[in-house]
Amino acid sequence: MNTVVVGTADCKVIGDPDATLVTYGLGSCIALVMHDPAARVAGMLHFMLPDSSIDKARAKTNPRMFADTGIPLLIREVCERGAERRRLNIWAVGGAQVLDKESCFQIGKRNHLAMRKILWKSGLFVGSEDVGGTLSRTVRFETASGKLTIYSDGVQRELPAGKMSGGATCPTAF
Amino acid sequence: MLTAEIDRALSRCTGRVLETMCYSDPLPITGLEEGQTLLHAELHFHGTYSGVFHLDITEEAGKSLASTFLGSDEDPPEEQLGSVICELTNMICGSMLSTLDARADIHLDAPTLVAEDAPRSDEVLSKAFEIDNGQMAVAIRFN
Amino acid sequence: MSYRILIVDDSPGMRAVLQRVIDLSGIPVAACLTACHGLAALAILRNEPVDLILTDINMPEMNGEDLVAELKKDPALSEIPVLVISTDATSNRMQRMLELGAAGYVIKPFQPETLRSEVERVLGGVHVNG
Repeated sequence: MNTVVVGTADCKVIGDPDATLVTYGLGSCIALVMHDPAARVAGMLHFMLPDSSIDKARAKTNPRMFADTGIPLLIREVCERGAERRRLNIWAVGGAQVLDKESCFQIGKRNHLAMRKILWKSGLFVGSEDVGGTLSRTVRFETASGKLTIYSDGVQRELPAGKMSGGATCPTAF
Repeated sequence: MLTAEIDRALSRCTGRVLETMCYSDPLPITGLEEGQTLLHAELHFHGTYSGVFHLDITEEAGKSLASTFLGSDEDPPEEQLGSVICELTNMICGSMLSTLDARADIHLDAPTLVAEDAPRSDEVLSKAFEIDNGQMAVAIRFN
Repeated sequence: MSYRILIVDDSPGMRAVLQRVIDLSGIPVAACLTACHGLAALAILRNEPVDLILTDINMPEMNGEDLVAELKKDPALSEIPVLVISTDATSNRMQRMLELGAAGYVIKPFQPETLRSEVERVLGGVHVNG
């Protein structure tokens, strides 16, 4: 099995049906995973910040750092590889508040809101989410099975592809 | 109802509506800055409780919220802008009244946009917020 | 099978959002009709086949509660499922609408995924495109 590591501020799109995408240390960052099971195309974006306008120069050199530049890139790249938007299963994981509780930056929450805004404007729905809280997460996605696994605080759990119903499929706590 | 309860409900419900429908995280501020061009919406309610609810929003912030609400990247046409501001007014007020008393029987009139100089009582409870591209304030007066 | 859906809400902005969620949901839709209050909805329903109604409650001319009551009185319309979409989260109202025969109740504000799930549920686990 071929493991493809997605770093921080990074995005990988694969057409290898036997590959696994993995990203580590999701604190306030969010991993956005898109999978078209029929086309056997999967992509994972690990972005750090919501809005590229704070650093346009950085966004030019690495658009994957920001939600507003990275997510359109992910959508474009999976579609260029043969995915169809209406078939995409989409997961979002991360967006924790890993500093002290009184942290005024709330980057995790702002990342989550930015992601949802961009997906809504792009005409896509998030199928499953595991966002918020205070713990760091690692995510592994197996293209062959379409299975997404989250590792957090010594516990492993699968997040099924789903039709979200008010966030009931998973814990969401900001 | 206690003033503190109403105050909390104003903040919580405004946050909930803006986050859910417009993916915006409002930050509390002490008041709106002077000299800004504002849109004003007003809604009257009757039943177990009666009164009036106001929403004021800077024009650019209104356009930004409305375009997100509608799922668009473009500024909405004026008619749609007004409609969205009124619908947000409806949602925040309705959400707030349901939160304050889950057993109440309340009818909300259709919200309307009103002029800057429309008469308004001073006896309102209000909250102001910094939002994307501007500011907004909500206020409520119970009869 | 594709569905004919009627959206009833006096807010043009809200009608646009509901229509967008339906369009993006993958549910096969033959037509998405709109009305701005209960009377206009009834006029459409007496002339056009409809498989699902999404309705607000507070509307001029005829509100959502009276609309549902009228539908349930008419044998030709009583079987059409109605999904209520309203800011009114009070227990009295929700109970009343469900007792009148509404198939579901979505509270505004709502996530688009929540609305899509409810529409699919009320249509009986519809097979979506893809």
